[in-house]
Amino acid sequence: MANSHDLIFQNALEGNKYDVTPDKNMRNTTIKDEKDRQNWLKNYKPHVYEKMQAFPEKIANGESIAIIQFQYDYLCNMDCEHCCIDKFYVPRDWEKASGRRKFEMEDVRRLSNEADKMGLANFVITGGEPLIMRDFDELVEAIDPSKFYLVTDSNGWNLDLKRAKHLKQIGIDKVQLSLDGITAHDHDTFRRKPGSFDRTMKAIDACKEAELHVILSTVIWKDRIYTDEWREFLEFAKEKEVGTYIVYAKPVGAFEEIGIDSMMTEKEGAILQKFEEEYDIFTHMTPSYGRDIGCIAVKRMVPISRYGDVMPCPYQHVSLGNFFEEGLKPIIDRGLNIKWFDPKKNMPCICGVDKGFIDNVIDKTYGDSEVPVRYDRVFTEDDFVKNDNMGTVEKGSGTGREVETWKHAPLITLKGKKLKDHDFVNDAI
Amino acid sequence: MEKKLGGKTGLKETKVAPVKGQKEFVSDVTGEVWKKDSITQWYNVINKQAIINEDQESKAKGGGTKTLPKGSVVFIDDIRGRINPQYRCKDSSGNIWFVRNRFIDMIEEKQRLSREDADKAAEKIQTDNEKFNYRGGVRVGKYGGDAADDNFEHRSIGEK
Repeated sequence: MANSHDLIFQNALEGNKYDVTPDKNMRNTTIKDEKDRQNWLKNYKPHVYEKMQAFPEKIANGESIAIIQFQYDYLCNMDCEHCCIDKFYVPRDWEKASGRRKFEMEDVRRLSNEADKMGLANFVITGGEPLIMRDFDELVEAIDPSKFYLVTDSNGWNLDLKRAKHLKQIGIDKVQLSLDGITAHDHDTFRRKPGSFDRTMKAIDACKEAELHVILSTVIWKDRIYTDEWREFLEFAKEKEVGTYIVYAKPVGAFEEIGIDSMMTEKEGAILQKFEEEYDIFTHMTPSYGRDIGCIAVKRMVPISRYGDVMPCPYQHVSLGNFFEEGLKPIIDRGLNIKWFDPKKNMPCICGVDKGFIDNVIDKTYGDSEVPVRYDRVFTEDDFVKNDNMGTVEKGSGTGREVETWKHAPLITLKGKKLKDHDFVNDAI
Repeated sequence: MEKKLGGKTGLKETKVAPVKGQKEFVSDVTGEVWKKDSITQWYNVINKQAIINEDQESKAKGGGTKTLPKGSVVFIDDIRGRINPQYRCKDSSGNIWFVRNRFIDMIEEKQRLSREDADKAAEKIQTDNEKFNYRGGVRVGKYGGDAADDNFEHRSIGEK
C-alpha cells in the first residue's frame, strides 16, 4: 500500500488522553511507508504490536485472531438501501420499555478485557453511524485504545477537520469511510441522503489534513464491476492516495431481496483480483498473515450486537451465543468448532457465493425470522468438528450427512513467504 | 462527451442528484421505487390490534410458502427496523410475522372487534405478553428458546 502520511504524529500526540507515556522519539516520527507504520505501532502501541506478532502462531494453532466488530448502537442518519443491519434496530422508546439488555460502559470494559486476554488486537466501532453516538468518546475510552488498533466506520456526514483531529486525539487509529458511487447521484441515491457525497468528499480531505489514517469502503455487486463508474471510482481513490476496502453485496438486511443474480460470482471475484494488481484495494478475502485463510468468519471477524449477540460475520445473522450469558472465549471457541468456520479449512466467502450455505443457514435469517437466529436453530451436530462445546445443540441431531462445501475445502496453507518473514503488522492495520 | 455540471460532484446533465427534501428514490440496483416509512411511538402500536392491508407471503419452515391474507387481524407486540420498519405480529393461530408497517392499518377504537370477538382472537396470542423476556435482542418464547422456536422445525431433520 502506498500512503502519504508525512509528519503524521507530530501534532496528534500532543495532549493524547490514553497513552501518557508515548515514546518521545515518536513525536517527530514521519510516516513515509508501511515500515514506518510498523515502527509507529511498535513504539506507540507496544502491547498491540506484541499481540499482532503472535497472530501467525495463533492461526497455525487454529485460534481466532478476530477483529471485534462492535455494533454498539444502530442509530443512523442515513437510509442506505444495502444496510445489512436494519433488522437489529429497535426504536429507543420501545427498547427501554421492552427491557432488552444492551451494552453499558461497564460491559464494554469487560468485553475489552476479555478480548485482550484472548490476544485479540483489533476493534472496529460500527453501527449505525458511530459519529452520531453521543457517548462515542466514552465508548473509545472504555474499549481502551492502548489495548487495540482502533478503527471506526463512518459515513462521513459529521466528520469535518475539527472532528478528525479530535478522533485522532482520543485514540482512533483509522477511519473507514463509506463511498458507494463516484457521482453524487449514485452515492446519494444509494444512501438515500442528498448531500452525502459532498460530505464524504470533505471528510476524506479532513482526515488527510488531520493526518488520520483513512480508507474508503464500498459495496460491490455483480453489475457494478463492469461499469465505467467502477473504474472511475478506483481512479479517484488512486488519485486521493487512499486504500479501498471492498464489501461484497450480500442478500441480507435491507438488501435481502436483491436476489442471487445481483451477487458476485467467482468470475467477478477473479476480475476483482485483477483490479487488486492495479489499485490499492482489498476485500475480506485478501490473504493476510502469510496465509490465505479464505472466509474470515469467526477466524478473523466477530461482530457483537448492541444486545450482546456474538455472530460469525456481519452478514450471517446467527448468534453463536450471548456475551451477557457466557464469556467471549467460549462463544468464539464454539464458533471455531463449527465446520463452516473451521480454522484449518480455506472456505470461500460462504455467505457471499456459497449457495449451499445461503440455503442452509442464511435463508433461516430471512423474512419474518427473529434475528439474530440462535445457532441451535441453524446448526446440528453434523455441523460441528467435535461433538463437545456444542452449547445447546443436541447430540444426535442432524442426519450424519456431510456438507460438501466444507468437506472438500482445501486446508489453509502458507502462501509465499515464511511466517517469520511476513509483514504481519502491515496486514493487520 | 456529456457536459459536467460542476466540480467533484460528478453530476451530469443526464444524471441529477437527489435534492434535499426529496421523498421518493429509485434504486439503481433493484429499480425499486422507495420512499421513507415512519413509525409511531410504541404505545400506539404495541399490544394493539391491526389489520393486514395486503397479502403477506413468507417461506414456510421446511419449504413452500405460507400466506397471511389481507384482512387478517393481528396483534402487535414488537417493533424493529428503521429503514424498513416492521411490526412483529401474531395472527389468530399464534404464528409470528414481521410485517412492514405500510402493510398494516391500526384498528381505530370505533372499528375494533366486539369485546367478545377480540378476547377470542387475542386469547391465544396474549398469553405471554404481559412480561417481555429477551435473550440478547430476541424475544424468548414460552419454551425458553427464541419465541420463534415455539413453531420451529429443524432444517435437517424436519421435526419440531
